[in-house]
Amino acid sequence: MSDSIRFLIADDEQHIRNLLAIMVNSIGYEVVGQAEDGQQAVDMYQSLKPDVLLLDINMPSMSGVDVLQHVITVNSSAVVIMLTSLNSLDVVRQCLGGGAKQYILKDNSIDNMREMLQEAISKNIGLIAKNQMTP
Amino acid sequence: MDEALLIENLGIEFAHDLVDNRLTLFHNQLLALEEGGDFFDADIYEETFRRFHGVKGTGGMYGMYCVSTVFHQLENYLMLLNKSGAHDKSDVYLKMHNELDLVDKMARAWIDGERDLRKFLIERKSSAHSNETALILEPLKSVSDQIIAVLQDNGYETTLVNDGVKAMECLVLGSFDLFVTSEQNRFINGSELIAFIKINSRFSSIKTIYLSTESNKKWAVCAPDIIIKKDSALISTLDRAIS
Repeated sequence: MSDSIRFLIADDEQHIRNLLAIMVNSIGYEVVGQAEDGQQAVDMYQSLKPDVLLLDINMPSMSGVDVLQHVITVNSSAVVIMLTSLNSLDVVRQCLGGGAKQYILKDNSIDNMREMLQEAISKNIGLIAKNQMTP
Repeated sequence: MDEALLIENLGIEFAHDLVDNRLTLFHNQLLALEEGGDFFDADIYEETFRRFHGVKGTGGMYGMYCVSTVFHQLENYLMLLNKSGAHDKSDVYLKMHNELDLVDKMARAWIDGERDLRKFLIERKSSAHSNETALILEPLKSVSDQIIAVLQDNGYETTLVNDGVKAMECLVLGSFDLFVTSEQNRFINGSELIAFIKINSRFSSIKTIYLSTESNKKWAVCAPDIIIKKDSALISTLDRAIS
């Protein structure tokens, strides 16, 4: 596995993207891109080929659910972590059924989110390593 | 820069963004929806909902949990507007504008260095029905004490009576915004009193809450505005119903 895990963050809220980038960097991982809508997320996923996609559900131009579908079609073993809030848990279940590996609750403190993210990465570290070795 | 300080600064920047830009935008979006009347603009609705959702999440991440709470409520109001029905939409819009004004106060307090915003939610609750009056007809003191506490917490001035005749006297001679009654009372039952209110146009502004029991279905005849089951969840249900 390479030294760092490369993240793409997709969320229409700039504040949230900034906070997530700080959080990802603080764990020692790298943020390779930030997408502010669904279409941009699809384009950047294809061009940057990140190890992990942190994906918001409610986004303009294309929802997180649609982005997930595109990404999984391109790469069925993609590590996609959904970003959501408590009242969207039914959609999360749909995403988990559609190939997302984990979800993180957004309406949480940074420290709690960091823990959730680390746990999600630990659970998928094998898959991330395998994806990195696949050309 | 230290991570905690960086996040603190970003949080203040977010609060400024709310005060300077977003809240005005939200007020305008609500006005645009309201102007549409029965034609509910789906694009504005979707965008407003998404933006509310975004602020809710961002607020939570910065530790502004009370801001998230208000935006959660705003999402609920927005969903209520999107539902067809006979509810008074202008009242819902007014509540939403008030909620946005509350967030404005919260964000300004955050900019000024306050980090515990709970007092704003407590103030909102107590001012929700300030200057409003409630008449309560409940013979059991253990129950009426709890009902009075909830109503007063929500700003109501309360009057308690323990029989149907006294309730009727109060209704005729006084002026009330809310009438809460159980069914089994001395002289006149709750369902009869609510029916009296409903057929008399003079009392059309009184909101009625009927406390039902499992064995009692009299409310079907008297048609109260709200029916609350008299069980262990009575107080929390009542609090939600009037908040």
